[in-house]
Parts: sequence; C-alpha cells; structure tokens
Amino acid sequence: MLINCTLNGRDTAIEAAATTRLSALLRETLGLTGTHVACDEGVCGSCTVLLDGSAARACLTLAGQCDGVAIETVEGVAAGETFETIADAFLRHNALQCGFCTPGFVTTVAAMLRDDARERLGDAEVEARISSVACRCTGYLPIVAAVRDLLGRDR
Amino acid sequence: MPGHARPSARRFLEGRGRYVADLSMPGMLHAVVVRSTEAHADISVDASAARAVAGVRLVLDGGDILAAIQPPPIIWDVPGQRRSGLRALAHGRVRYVGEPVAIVVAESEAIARHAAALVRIAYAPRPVVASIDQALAADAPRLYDDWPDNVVASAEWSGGEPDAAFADAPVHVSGRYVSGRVSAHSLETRGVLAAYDPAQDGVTIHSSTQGPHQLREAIAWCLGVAEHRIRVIVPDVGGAFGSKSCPYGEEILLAYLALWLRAPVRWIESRAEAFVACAPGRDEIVDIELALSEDGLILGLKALITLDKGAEPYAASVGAAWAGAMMVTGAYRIADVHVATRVVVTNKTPTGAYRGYGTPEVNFALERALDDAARRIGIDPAELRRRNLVPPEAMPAPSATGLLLLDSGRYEEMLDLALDAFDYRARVGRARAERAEGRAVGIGLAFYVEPTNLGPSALCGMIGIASGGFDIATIRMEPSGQVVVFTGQTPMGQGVERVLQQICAAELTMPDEDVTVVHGDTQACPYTAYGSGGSRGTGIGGSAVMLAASRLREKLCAIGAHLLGAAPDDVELSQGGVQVRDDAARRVSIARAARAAYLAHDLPAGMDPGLDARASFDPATLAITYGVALAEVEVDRETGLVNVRDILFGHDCGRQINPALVEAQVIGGIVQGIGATLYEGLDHDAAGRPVTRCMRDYPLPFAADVPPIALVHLETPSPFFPNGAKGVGESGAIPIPAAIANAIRDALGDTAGDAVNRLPIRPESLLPS
Ligand code: FES
Ligand code: FES
Repeated sequence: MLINCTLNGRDTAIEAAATTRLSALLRETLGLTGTHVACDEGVCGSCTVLLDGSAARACLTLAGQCDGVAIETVEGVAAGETFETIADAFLRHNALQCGFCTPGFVTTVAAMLRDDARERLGDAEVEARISSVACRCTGYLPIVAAVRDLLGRDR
Repeated sequence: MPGHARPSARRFLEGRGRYVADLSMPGMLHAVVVRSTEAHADISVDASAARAVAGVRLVLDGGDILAAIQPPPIIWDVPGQRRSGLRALAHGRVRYVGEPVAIVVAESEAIARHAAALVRIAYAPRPVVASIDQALAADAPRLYDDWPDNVVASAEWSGGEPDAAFADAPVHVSGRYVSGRVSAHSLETRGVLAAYDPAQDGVTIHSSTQGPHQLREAIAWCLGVAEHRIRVIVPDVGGAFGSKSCPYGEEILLAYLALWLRAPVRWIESRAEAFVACAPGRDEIVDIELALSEDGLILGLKALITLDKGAEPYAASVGAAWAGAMMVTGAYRIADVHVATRVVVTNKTPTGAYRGYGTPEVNFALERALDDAARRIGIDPAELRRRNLVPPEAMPAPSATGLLLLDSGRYEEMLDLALDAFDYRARVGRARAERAEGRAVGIGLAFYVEPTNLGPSALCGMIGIASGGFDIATIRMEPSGQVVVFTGQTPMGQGVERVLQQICAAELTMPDEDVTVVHGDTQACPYTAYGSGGSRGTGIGGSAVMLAASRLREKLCAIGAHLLGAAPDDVELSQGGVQVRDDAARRVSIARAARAAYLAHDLPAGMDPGLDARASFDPATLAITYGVALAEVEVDRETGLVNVRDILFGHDCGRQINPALVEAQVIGGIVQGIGATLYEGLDHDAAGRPVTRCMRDYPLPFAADVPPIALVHLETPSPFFPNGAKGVGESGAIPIPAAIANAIRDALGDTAGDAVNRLPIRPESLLPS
C-alpha cells in the first residue's frame, strides 16, 4: 500500500506492505539505521520513535498504521531544536557507553521535553518513562541524572 | 568539549552509530542459521525443499563442510583436556538446543527465513545430560563416545599443608554455592558481514567482536586461508561483556560463504537465537570449606570448582574454572590451601566468557562462607575480614597456591573507608532495630579482588592460554603535527579509544583533539595478543601507547634540539613544543619539528626521515584491582521480593586516567551484578530445553530497579605498570552477588536457609516453604 506520512518533518509517500514492521521499514527501506532493534518484541525500547509526538515501539508498529501519521526518528530529533540540550546533558553525565540503546532514550526524552505537561510529570512518571528503555551498559544512574537535569529537577 | 567524558560519543546520540546490522553492500546476500530444537539426538538433514526456493543461493549442512571447515582452535588449552571436534555445523548428531545444523543463504532475509523453515531435521533422541550432577553420575550418558566420561579436564593445586590445618582448626564452615547460568545480553546481538575481496583474493569480515586478531587467527585456522588475505573490521560494538571475545562458528561460516559465493553475505543474530547461541556465562558450583581459629583467622581453605561448559569446551574452554582456582583465596592471607577444578559437558549451550569470568563465582562462595564463619564465631563480618586481609607491606604477595600475586593495594584502608562512608555501624544497629519491629532488613558486605591487565605472556603460557598477553601500539605523527594512534584494542562502549587518546596526548603534551585513534582493523592495526578482554585495555593497550608515545617524544626532542642548535639532553617537550630547558625563548612547536621530520632537508646525522614509533608492552604481572561492596536490603516477607535500598562500592583500580569512565564501568558492572543476583537466569527443563527464550523471560534490570549507588575510591598505582593503571571492566559484577546475598541472610536469619547460596535468588525461594 502507499503510506502517506510525515517523516522527520517531510511529507513522504512510501510504498510498503501494510504488515511490514515500522522498524524494518525505517532501517532497511529508508536507510534510517539510528532506530535500533534489540529484541523485536516490544521489550527493550531501542526502537523507540515518535508517532504524532508520542513515544512508540517501531518494532510493534506496522507500516499500515502509519498512514497520516507524523513519524520522527532519532535522526529527526537530532536535527531538531531540543537536541543540543539533550546531547549536552547525556555527554556531561556520561549517560551512554556502547550507544546501542541511546537512540531509544533520546527519542523518549525528546517526547518528555516536548510534553506540554512536563512540569506536571511526577517523579514516578519520569522514572516509568525512562524505565521503558533497556540499557545493558550504563546501569541507568547517569541516564536518570541526565534526564532529571534536562527536566530541571534535583537528583 | 569541557565536562564531556567522551566527546566522540556524540554520534550515538544522533543515531549515527554504525553497527554490523547497519552495514550493507551492493549484491549483499542474507544468511539464516537453522538450529537444533533438541538437546541431544542423532539427526539427518533434508534441505532439498529449502534449496528449491526461488532466491536461495546456497544451503549447507554439516556434511557439506566436513572437508572445508576445521574445528576451531581452543583459547584456554590446558594439557590433557578433551576436545569435541565439533565444527561450525553439526554433523550426524546434535548436543544442545540451538546448535547450528544448517545455514541458508538467499537474496533477502525474508527468503532465507522462509527457506530455513523448510529445512527438515529428523531427530532420533538420545538421553539428555541436563545438569552437572547428571553429567558426573556413574551411569551418565556420554556426550562424546570417545571420551571415558563427561569431564573436559580437571586439575588441582595445593599450598602449605591444608589437611593438617583443617585437622587442627577449632572452627570449620562449609557450603555449596551455585552461580546460575546467565546471559551477557549485550543489547546488540552478534552479527557478521563477510565479503569476498577480489584485490587480495581474500575475505573481509565485519564482525561485532572483542578480538579482531583472534578472529582472524580462527578463520585462518579453520579455512586454511593465509592470515594476510583475511581482514577483520570491527564497526561499532553494541556491548559485549566477554560474550564476543571468542570466535564463533557463525563468523567462520560467513567467511567461508563469502569466499565460496564470491559475494557479500550478512548474518544478524536474532534475540531469540542469542538466548541459545551466544555463549552464556557462570553456571558453576563452588564447594568451599574454611578452617578458622577462635578469633577468626582463616587457617585453611579447600575448594572444588565445577564448571558446566554446556555441550562442548568451546574456545573459552576451562578458563573460568582455572581463573576461579587462581582467585579463590581472594584478598586474604591463607597459608594452607587446596583447590580442585573440574569442567564437565552437558546438553546445553556452550558457556564462554562473561564479565568476571570465574571470579564472581568464587567470590560468591568465599564471601558467603566468611559470613557464616563470622556468625559461627560471633564476630562482626567486617571485622572478620579485616583480620585476614593481606597488608600492604606484604605485597607483592603470592597466594599459597602460587597462582595469584596480589601486586599492590591498601585493603584495610579501603575497608575502613567504605565502612565509614556507608555508616556501617549505625546501619547495622538500625537494621537490628527494624528487625525487632518485624521488618526483614539486613546489611551485607563482600570484599573482592579482580585480576586485570591480562597478562604476562609467560603466565598465559603457564595457565594454558594459547596466546600471549601483550599489546603493540604504533603512533604516527603527521607532517602537520597531529597524531594517529593505531591499536589492537576494540571499543565496545567502555571508552578505551578515549583513554588511549588521553594517554597519548598527555605523553606528547598535546591537546586531546589533536590525537585520533584507529582501531578495529587487522589490516591497519597492530597485533593484540588477547584482544579486549581480561580488563586489559588501559593497562596493557594503554601502556603500549604510552611507551610508543615516549619514543616519539624522544625523536621529536632530537629534531627540536637540532633545529634549536641545542644538545638533545638540554631540551624537553612541554605544552606542544620542544624548548631548551628553562629558556622559553628557545622553542619550536611540535608542528615545526614534525614538518622538519618529513621535509628531511636537515635532520640530525643518521636520523631516519618521518615520525612514527612503535612499542609493545608485556607486563611483569597481573594487576589486582580490589574493593568492597556493601548493601542494605529489605525483603518483603509476603512476596519474597528483595528491595535493595542502598549500595556502597569502594574501589581501587590504581591510577584513573579518566575517572568518569572508571565510574561508568563500576556502576554498569554493579547493575549487571544486581541482575545476576536477583533477576537473571537461563533456565532449562528436565529435558535440557531452554525455557528462557526471549527478553520477556529474561528480566534485565531497568532504571526503576536500580538502587542508589555511592562510590568511594582509592588510587594505589600498580608499581608494575608504566601508567599505574589497573583494569576496571569487571569490578562491579564481582562482589555484588555476595554482598546482596549476605544482606538477605542478615535480614531473614536462619529462615533464609539455602536460598541465599544459589543465584539468582528468586522471590519464591525466600518465602517460607
Ligand atoms: S526492538 Fe522494539 S522494543 Fe525491542
Ligand atoms: S549504552 Fe550500551 S546498551 Fe545502553
């Protein structure tokens, strides 16, 4: 089917089988390899992208669901306004090692920062959102510190 | 950027990391591996239906590769050990669920998957050996018909007079401590892209590996291709933790396929495959006995280490058990010791290396047993440890077995530092008070030592490692005065590239950004004898860089002195220039000296033009990192859930070249240790079938599971390393299981029973039975 969507801010028409996973579509067809696949079953969050601004698992999203949707990948976030502050916080807190999980955190955090309700996000909600992405390297503490820093909260 | 521990990591944030799965080539084919679904069976394979699928280029089974692919070399190759003779694909018989049986190559991954499902394997089941006990039973079915039993190798070491020590000692404690089978579970699975190289009539392999040179060796060995026709390239590695340190059959197969098909072929391991095909770690039983005096001095130690290798020795072979034998005496003075090891095969995925590699297993046993001893004698567990720690003035201190040399450290000072920082006394008191109110709160600690900077080549030979332990570095200063460092070390998130950059820049008094580091290419980079494992990147790779840089500095100074008309002895390198000592007016920049080296119009007599240097570094000994972990836990008596309230980790890895990266390694290791203690386990049913097959079944810690962690450091440089640095990669994972288990034991008292002696400690095991 022909999927009309916005991809990283650009109107795009993509020809794909409706049942193709969005993660595969992004990586294999569109060459956007920043979206990583670590489990392919919705657990790890490495494949997190923004669909109409909300964080979603690309491996659990089918191409057919993307018609009329604004898709933003880590590459899109990296070209956007909030990215500099995100990158600076992650690098200052040394919140990444191998980098495989990192795009999942960047997109998740971008959604939080844009969330109009971010001031009202409770600590538990912030923790829950960070806990939607797995990292095997960092032990999370530096990631949590970077995110709290970005949200302007004390540790 | 100021304040950034590793500026080059920015690309990962932008989604510009390049892992194997991100690489593709024109005309690339896709491989899918067909794996055994039975733990032990005779098989026959019918691939005709798969071969008939349009778009399939090749299907190979075990019979097809018999002549072409030899069994891989063994890295820990101890005298007398038995070999499996297994090749990259099973032939006639399978010995574990997940064993590769066939490989399908097709024009797309979808076609390859479809065809793989059509490969028919007929199984005639054999009796299964599912555990160490079953493997060792007198009437056990054998995995290998030409072995007399299921034992790969066994060995023993003694020091002093252990029998006499035990006979005389007033206090004995003993126990059996089990470290379960766990997955390193790097978020990036394994992956290989192999391509025929027509220019060299060779093959280029892109692989997510920790040991490019070791992989090249294995491919050369298995395929009979000369090493100079094989190029291993390592792109970004998405975590490894030991699991990518030894070559795998799939890497050999892909190299073979690329040569055979004269085309690029890619294989990416799925997560489900990783659970049965990527070498897991631990799976070891340690039986330990301690003899003590009434006042808590350890008089003797006896240990039996039994390692479950899974279905074959695999490249890592007996290593974890032998390393355990070396480390089992820990940080303590123990005069009389007997250690035995045995390594058995079972019908499970072959185990390999995982963060700690034998050390966490023996640490768990020793530190649990010491807690029991303290309770028996009636002294505080921290005090019992203090009385036995090796003092600094006794170092370097060999262990009674002669296997371990404690090179340097301030153990007691570390213990005090950590106890103070944790407010240990007060916490013990508060926990007691809480227990009196009915809450199951406890405090636990564990001291640890970690073998790092592997290792002296001679030692490698002595303990059965079929390679050396040195590294080579080359450094080239460009005519413009910037520097390129070439290393055999491989970054995989730990940041070794950053550390090498810093070491080189410091030695040459240059800004860090004037140094780039080239790694992960056997054609460009110098040989590393053991790759990036054994926590050796900074100590061995870094020392080689430091030595090469100091040679380069000497040449720079000689050129600078010549340009200044000064004697070489009168100049020094400082702040990016060569200058006459104490005379800042007589100075040339590094860039000018570098240009002179390449112009070669006017060099000191006899000097070669150009500006590069090379050094190899082979250490005199291992460097023993050490420290202590303290934990406070509360166990929910209703659910058995363990809430780790707080962790404090004291740590000394010698000189810290990049403290932020040290801290990152320690914390990452601690959280993996928490996972292995409370959550993670690769379970099997009675028929040897893995029941942990997807991430949903294997609960990694997520952010919400991580307690507050505080770190305290000492920096005691190792006298045996030019940069004073010891390794840090494995530290965190080593003492956490014992510290948490001891805290749970403290919280639950005798009702904890045996549950705290087996990892993982699952909630149901902590409920009253
Ligand atoms: S790859 Fe999508 S959640 Fe893991
Ligand atoms: S940085 Fe490696 S998985 Fe998170």
